[in-house]
Amino acid sequence: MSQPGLDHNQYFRSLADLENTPEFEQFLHREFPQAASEFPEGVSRRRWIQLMGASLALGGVAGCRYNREEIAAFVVRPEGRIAGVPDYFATNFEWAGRVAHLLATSVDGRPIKVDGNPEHPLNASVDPSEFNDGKAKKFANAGCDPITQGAVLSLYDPERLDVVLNKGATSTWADAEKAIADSLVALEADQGKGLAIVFEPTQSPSLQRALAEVKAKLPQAMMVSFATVDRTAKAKGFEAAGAGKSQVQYRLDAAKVIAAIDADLLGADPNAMLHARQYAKGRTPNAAKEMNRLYCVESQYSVTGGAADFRLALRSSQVPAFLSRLETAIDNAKGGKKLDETGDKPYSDLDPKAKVARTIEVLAGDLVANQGACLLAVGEFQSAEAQQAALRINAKLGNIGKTVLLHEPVSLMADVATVDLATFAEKAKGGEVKVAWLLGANPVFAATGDIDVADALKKVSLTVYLGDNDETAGECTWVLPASHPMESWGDARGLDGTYGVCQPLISVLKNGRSPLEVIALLAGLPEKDSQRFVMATAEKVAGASLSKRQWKDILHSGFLAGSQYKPASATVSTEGSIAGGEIDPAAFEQGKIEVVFHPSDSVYDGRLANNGWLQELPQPITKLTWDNAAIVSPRTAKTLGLVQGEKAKLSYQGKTIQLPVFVVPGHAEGSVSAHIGYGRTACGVVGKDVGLAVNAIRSSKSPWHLDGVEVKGTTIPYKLATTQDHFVLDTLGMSEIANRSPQLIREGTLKQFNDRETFAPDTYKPHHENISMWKEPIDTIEKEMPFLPQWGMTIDLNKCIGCNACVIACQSENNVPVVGKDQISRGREMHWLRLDRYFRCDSKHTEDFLDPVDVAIVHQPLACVHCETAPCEQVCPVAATVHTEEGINAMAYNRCIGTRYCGNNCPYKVRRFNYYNFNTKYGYFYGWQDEREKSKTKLQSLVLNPEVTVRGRGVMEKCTYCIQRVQNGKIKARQTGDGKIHDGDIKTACQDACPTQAIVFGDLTDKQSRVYQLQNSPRGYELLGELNVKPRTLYLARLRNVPDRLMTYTQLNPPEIHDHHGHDDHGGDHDHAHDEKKTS
Amino acid sequence: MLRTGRSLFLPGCWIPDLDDFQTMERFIFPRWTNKFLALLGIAVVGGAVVYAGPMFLGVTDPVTLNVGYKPEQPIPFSHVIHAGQLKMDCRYCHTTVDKAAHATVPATQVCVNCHSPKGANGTPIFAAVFPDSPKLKPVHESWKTGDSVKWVRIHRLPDFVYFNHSAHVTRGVSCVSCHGRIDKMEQVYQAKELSMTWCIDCHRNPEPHLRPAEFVTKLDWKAEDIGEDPVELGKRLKEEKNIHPMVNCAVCHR
Repeated sequence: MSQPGLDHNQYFRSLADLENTPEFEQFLHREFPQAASEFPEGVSRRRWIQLMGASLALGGVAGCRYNREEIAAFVVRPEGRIAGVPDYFATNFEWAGRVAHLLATSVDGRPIKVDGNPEHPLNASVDPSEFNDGKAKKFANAGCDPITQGAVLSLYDPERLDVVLNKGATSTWADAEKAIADSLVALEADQGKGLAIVFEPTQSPSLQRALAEVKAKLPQAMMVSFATVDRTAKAKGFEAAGAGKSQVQYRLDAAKVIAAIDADLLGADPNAMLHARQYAKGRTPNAAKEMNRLYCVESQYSVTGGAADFRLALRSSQVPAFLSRLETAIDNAKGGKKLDETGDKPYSDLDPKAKVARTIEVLAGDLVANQGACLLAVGEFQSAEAQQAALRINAKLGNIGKTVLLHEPVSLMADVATVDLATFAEKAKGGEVKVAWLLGANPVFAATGDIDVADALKKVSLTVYLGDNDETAGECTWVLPASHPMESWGDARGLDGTYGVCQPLISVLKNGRSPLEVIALLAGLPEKDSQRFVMATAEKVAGASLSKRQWKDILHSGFLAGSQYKPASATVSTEGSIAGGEIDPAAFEQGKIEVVFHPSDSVYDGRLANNGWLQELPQPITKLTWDNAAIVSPRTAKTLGLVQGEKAKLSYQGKTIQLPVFVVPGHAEGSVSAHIGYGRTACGVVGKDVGLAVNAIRSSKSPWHLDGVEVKGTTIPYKLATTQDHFVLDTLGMSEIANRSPQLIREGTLKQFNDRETFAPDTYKPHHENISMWKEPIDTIEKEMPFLPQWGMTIDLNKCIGCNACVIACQSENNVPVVGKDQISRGREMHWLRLDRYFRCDSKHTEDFLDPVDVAIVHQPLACVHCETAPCEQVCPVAATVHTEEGINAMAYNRCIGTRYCGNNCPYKVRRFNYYNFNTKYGYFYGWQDEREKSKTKLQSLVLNPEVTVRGRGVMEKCTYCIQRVQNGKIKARQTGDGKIHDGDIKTACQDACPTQAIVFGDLTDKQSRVYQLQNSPRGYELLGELNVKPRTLYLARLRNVPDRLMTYTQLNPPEIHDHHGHDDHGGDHDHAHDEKKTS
Repeated sequence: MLRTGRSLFLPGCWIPDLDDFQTMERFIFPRWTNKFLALLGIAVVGGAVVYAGPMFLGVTDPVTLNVGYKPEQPIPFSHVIHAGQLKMDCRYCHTTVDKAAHATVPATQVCVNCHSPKGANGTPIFAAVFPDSPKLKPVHESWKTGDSVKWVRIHRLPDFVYFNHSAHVTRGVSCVSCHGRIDKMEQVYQAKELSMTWCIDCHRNPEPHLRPAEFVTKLDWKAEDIGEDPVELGKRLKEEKNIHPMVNCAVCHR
C-alpha cells in the first residue's frame, strides 16, 4: 500500500500496522475492541435478570452489616514482628538457570514480592546512575528479571504436586522412605552399580557436596549431568583457549565499545540484569560528550539487539565466519594498516555483502582503538570454536582482567566424573541401569528429540523422581513432590563466586522436600537436616568454623563477605584461528534454512509453564503472549510462502514440527528463531497445551542450531495473541502513525545531541505555547500548599532496554490479574505498565515497506503519566478518578461504575478495564467471602499485596504511581524520620525492579531531587505535550552512538529543527517540521 | 376493523389475532377505569419512595448499622477494670498502635503475663490473678494448645479503606476520638459510626481532636487539665506538628 506523508523516521509498530489489516483497523478505531458489552457465555440476558433479581432480594438481608469476623491473635508474638508491616529477607537460589540474589518482601509471614539484593557484592559493584550526589545507597536497586520475579507466583501455584505418587497412585512419604531404604540395601552391597543419578549442573555448593558424598558412598553409580539449557560449549572453548576451567565475568561498565556477537547479554543471559546495570553506567553522555557503544550482530531480534547502537542481522551459522574475518581485521588494524575511506559510500547505499564488510572494518577499528576498554562477547549457544575465538580476540585486545574477568571456580564435586543424558539413555536401554534417581529438570519433556528418555526409563526397574506431576512423573515409579526454593534451605554461588544461603521464607506449603533432603534420604547420608548440612557447607566455603553470629550475618546480608573466586592464573593463548568463509546475509534457499532455538523469555525450558504472570508477559520483541512461534523476517516469509497467523512446517532429517509463523522485521534472512519450553502436555491448567513443542526436531549434538531445514507454509490457521497492536495511541490512521511516532519516541544520534543538546524537545516543538484558558487547580495548590510534595517521574529511553522487569514488578506489586490468551487477543490485557515497542526502518528504503531494511527498535515504557489536567477526570460521571493535591491521578475503585469514558478520553491509552472478575476466574482469587472458601485457587490469593485493593468486575484501573508506597512513605517519615520525605525514600515498584535505573520517581518541588534534575534535562520531552495535559512523567530521548561510517540515511539526515519566532512563519499544521521530506 | 383503544391498560397496542379476541369473551375493563391507571402509577412510585427513602436514608445509615455493635467475646474481658480502674495504658496490650497500621489485639502471652494458668504441680508459673476463673479458660486453653483466642472484630472498615493507627496516634489524635470511652465499657461496642463523612469531618477540621501526643491514651483528658484553652491548643498543635489532613480519595483508598 502507499504511505502518504511518511517522513524521515519511519516508525511502525508491527507489520499489520503497515499492511492496514482489518484487525489493525479495528484496534485503531476502538480502544475496547469487539463486543465489549457481551454477556458471559452460557448466560442469557433473561437468566441474568433473574439472577440479578434473586441476588437483590438476598442482598437486602445480608448487606446490613459486615460478616462476623474473628481476629486470631498470636499466642506468642515473634520478636519484632508487627502485623501488616513487611519484613525483608535476603536469599539466594538457583532459578531457571540463573543464580538469583534476592530481597524478598514478606508480609505476615508470606513472601509477596522479590527484588534483587542491592547489597550483594555483584550488584553493589556498579551503580548505573549518572548522579554523584551521595544518594546512591537510597536509590540502590539491583533489578530483578521477570522470570525470577515470577518465582513468587510459582510458590503459591495451587497445582503443584502435594502428595507422593507411587505408579500414579497416591502414597505417603513414609512408604516412599521405606521403599527407597529397601532398594538402597542392594545398591550399597554393589557399591552403587546399576544406579544412575540424573541432576542439573548446579552452582549450589551444598548440592555439589551432597552429590560428591553420594558418589563417595556409591562409587559405581553413574552421575548424569543434564542441563536443559546446554551451556557447555563455553567451557569447551575456554579449555581449548588455554583458560582451563575458568569462568568469565564481563565488566560492561569498563568497556567503551561492546560487541555482542549472537550474544543476548541484556536479555536471555543468566546475568542479564547485572550486564544491564553495567551497560547503563556508560549510557549517559559524560563531560567529554562520550557514551559507550554497543554493537550487536545476531540472527533473531533480541533485547540486546534492540538496545544496540548498531545492529547487523546475520544468520547464526554465519557468525563463525564473521568472527574469522573480524579477527583478521583486528590483526590488520593492530598491525597499523590504515583503511582507505576515501570515496566511501554511505552505509545505506551499500549492498548486504558490503554492509557486512563495512561493519567488520568499523568494528575492528573501534575495538583496536579501545584496547583494554572494549569487550567482545559471543553467545553461549555458539560453538566451542567461536567461544575460543572470542576469548582469543579479547586477549589480543588486552581485555582479559579488565573487561573480561576470568575466575577460578571452586566446585565441591570437581572430581566427580559425569556423563550426559544420551549416555544414560543408551545404558538404560541396554539394561545396565536398575535404579535411577532423577532430581528434577523434567527430562522426558526437556530432552532433545534424539534422546527418548521415556523409553529409557521404562527399562529401569525403580525410578524415583523429585519434581512435579509432569511428563517425567508419568514414567517414574515414585514421584516425590519438590519444595520451592522459598520453602527450603539451600545455597548458591554467584557469578563472581560470592557464597549466599537460601533460607526458607515460609513453611512447606505443598508437602514437598528440597533436593538436599531428598538426596540425603535416597543415599542414606548421615546428615538429614538440610539447615545443618548447609551450615557445614558454609563453613567449608569460608574455610573456618562460623559462629552463630557470623551465620546470622550471612543470612541477614545474603552473602558471605570475601567469598569471591580467585582470579584465574591461566593465560589465554592468542594462537589459532577459526574457519572463515563468504558471508552473504541476503542469500538463502529453501531446504537450507537455519533454525535457531532459544530458551523462552517467559517459561525458560518449560518449567515455568504454569506461571500465569510469565505466560502473559508480552515477549520483549514480538510482544507475543501465551505462545511460541517460528520467527522470521518479512522477506524470508514471503520467499518461503509463510504467512503470519498460519502454521509453518519445519522438517529436518525426517523429523517435522509445526509452529505458527510470526514475522519480525530485522530478523536475519534465511533464519528461523523458535523458543523452547512450550507445548507441555502434563502440566497444570495454566500451562497445559500452551504453544507448540519443538524439542522433537532438536538434537543433543547441536541443541541450539540446525542447518539445512526445510520450512514450508501450511494453510492451517493459528491464532496468536500479541499485545503489539493494542491501545494504539493514534486515531487518524496510518499516515498519522507514521507522522506522529517520531514525536512519541524521540531519538537521535549522539552526534545530533552534541550539536544541539535540546534536539529532542526542539524537533517537534508545537508552534504555539500551551496556554490554559482558565486557572488550573494545581496553580492554587502550589501557592496555598507549598509544603506538599509534587510527584513526578522520568523514564530514560536511553537506558531502557525493554527487559520487562518493570511490567512484572508492577503486576506483582499492584495485584494485576492474569486474563488468559483469549482475553489478550480481544485487547483486554491488564498490565498497568506496558512496553511499547516501535520498529524503525531507514527512510532511504521506503519503497517496499514489507521488506524494511536496517530495522532498529525503540522501547517506551508507558503507564499513566498523571496529567495535571487529566482528560480522564473530566469525563468521569461519578468522580471516581480524581487528582490528589500532590499531583497523582487517583482511582477510587469503589466509586467506579464502569462507563469507560475515562479510557476513551485517555490520550495515552493506559487505563484498563476489568471485563470479568479476572481474579476469580483466571488468576488468583478475588470475590465474595463464601467463594473464597470454596475456591480451589485460595492458595494463590496469598500472593496478593495487602496494601492494594483487589479490583472486581466492571472497574477501571491504572497506574497509581504506587500510591500505597507514597502514603506509607509519608507515614513512615512522620513516625521515624524528621517528618520530611527525602529524595529516594519513596520508590515505585517499577523503579525498584529496573536494573538500569531508567525510571526515577520523586518530588518535583525539591530542586535537589534526581527527578527534578532529570525533568530539566536537555533530553527531556513530554509525550503528547501538545495536548496541554501536562504529564508528570517525562521521557528522556534516546541516543544512538553510531559510528559515522555506519550511520543510516535517517541518522545522517535528521529532521531539521525549526526555531519558531512568533506566529508569522507557518500555518497551523503542527507536523510541518517533519513533513518536509528529504529526498536523496 | 382493528379495535384499537379497547384494550384498556395499553391504549393503542397491537392485538395479534382478531378472531381469537372476538371469540374468547374475556373480560374487558370498561373505559372509565383508565383514570385509575394514573392513580396506580402514583401509588407505585409514591410507595417506592416511601419504602426506599427510609431504607436508604435510615436503615443503611452508618449510625443505624454500625454504632452500638456489641458482639459477645469469648472472654468477658472488662476494659472498665483494666483500663478504667487499674489505669493500664492502652499500649500495654495494643502494642503496635503507634508503630503500624494495625493496633493489634494482644497475643495470649500478654494476658498470661498476669493471668497464667496453673502448672502441673498446681501452682502457676507466672503471676496468677484468678488462675481458677472459668472466664479465663479460653486464655489458658490457648496458652496450652497454641491456638489463638478467637476474638470477634468490632471496628471494621471495608477492605478498600486503608486506615493507619500510627499516623493518627503519633500526631496526637486520641483513642477516644474514634473508639469512645473504652474505659467505661464493660463489653466493648462500636461508639462512632466510622463512616466516610465521619472521617472527612475530622480531616476537614482536625483541631478539636488534637492533643499533645503523650496524652493520647488518657481517655478522660481535657485541655483544661494542662491549663490550656482547647481551641487555642488545637490550632497551636496543628501548626506545630504541621498537620494538614487531606480529603482526596487516595488518602484512604489505594
